[in-house]
Amino acid sequence: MDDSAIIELFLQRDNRAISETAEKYGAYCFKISHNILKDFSDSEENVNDTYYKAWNSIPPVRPKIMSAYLGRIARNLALNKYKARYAGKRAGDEFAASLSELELCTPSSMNLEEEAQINELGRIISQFLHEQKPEIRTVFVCRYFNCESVEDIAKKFGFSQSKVKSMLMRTRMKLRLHLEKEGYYE
Amino acid sequence: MNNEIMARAMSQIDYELIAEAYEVSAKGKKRGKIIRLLATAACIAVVAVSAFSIFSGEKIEVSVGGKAISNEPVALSTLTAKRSAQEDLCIELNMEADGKIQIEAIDGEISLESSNVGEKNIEAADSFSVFWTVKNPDKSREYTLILDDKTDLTLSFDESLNKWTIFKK
Repeated sequence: MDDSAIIELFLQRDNRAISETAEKYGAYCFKISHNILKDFSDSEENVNDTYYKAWNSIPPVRPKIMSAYLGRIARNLALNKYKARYAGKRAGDEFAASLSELELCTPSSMNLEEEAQINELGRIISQFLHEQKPEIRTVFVCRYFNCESVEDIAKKFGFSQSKVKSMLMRTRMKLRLHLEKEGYYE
Repeated sequence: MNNEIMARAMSQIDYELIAEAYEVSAKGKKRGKIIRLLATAACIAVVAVSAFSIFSGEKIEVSVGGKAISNEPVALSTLTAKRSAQEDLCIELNMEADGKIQIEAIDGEISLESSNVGEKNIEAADSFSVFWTVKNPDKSREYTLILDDKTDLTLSFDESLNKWTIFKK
């Protein structure tokens, strides 16, 4: 079923909206959830929470791109669960490793409580990624939005793991320079 | 959660970027079967190319403290991995290459002289030493050096040996 038909089901408050969403995007939402949470039942719960949140937000929201809309919800919900699980503790998993990789680019003075600042940083990162070659930005998004492992990304694109690591590092360094120009570091 | 700011900011990237990555995944699954068939045919070509590479001398040998590094972890002693007062790790890697190679530090920094300022990328040829410095290494993480875009050297802490180890991936 195409996205416009699925959205119409949401707008009509037809329960089939959830089953159709699950059929088309369930695996994708699960993948993002599992890449962060690394637990089957937590990931399943996160996917169900994603459907619940979508049901409660459509309408009034009318997503332009359903995959991205759901992906963002799933990711944010998973981040909240991850944060709660590791509150005050140091995690040693793949997701933590990917966050450590981004430390090079982390602005020195930002307040997590300022949602507008976080949104603006997301916009600046988007601007930067749009300037990169498609392959490079897609690898970056797979690693730092989807939270996929280097091994999975390498298989997906048919690259060696070395090449993926190299691409990611160079892109992180360029992002750092871009954020410097935008005044994110004192 | 460390680095929550970047994690949250990445959640806010454009929908078009998120969808682009989703499409790659969706297409990848459809292409999978075709790729598996092509991979079988490609195996013979890969073997032939590898044989040619060996005969044309494209190989890099790396050793640390006199021990050759392979896919089996080599434990680093205090002689081969120096620790500074700040707990930085500096490893001297001896390399033999046929011709010029690029060395890229995904993690840490490298230099051709121990006293030099570290860089992320260097080029060297034939027989040389590379000094790989990792600042305040985390025992739960792995650190990577890439040789000529082909081979990973991985630094990892072995709990059973209570030592840092290095191996080729």
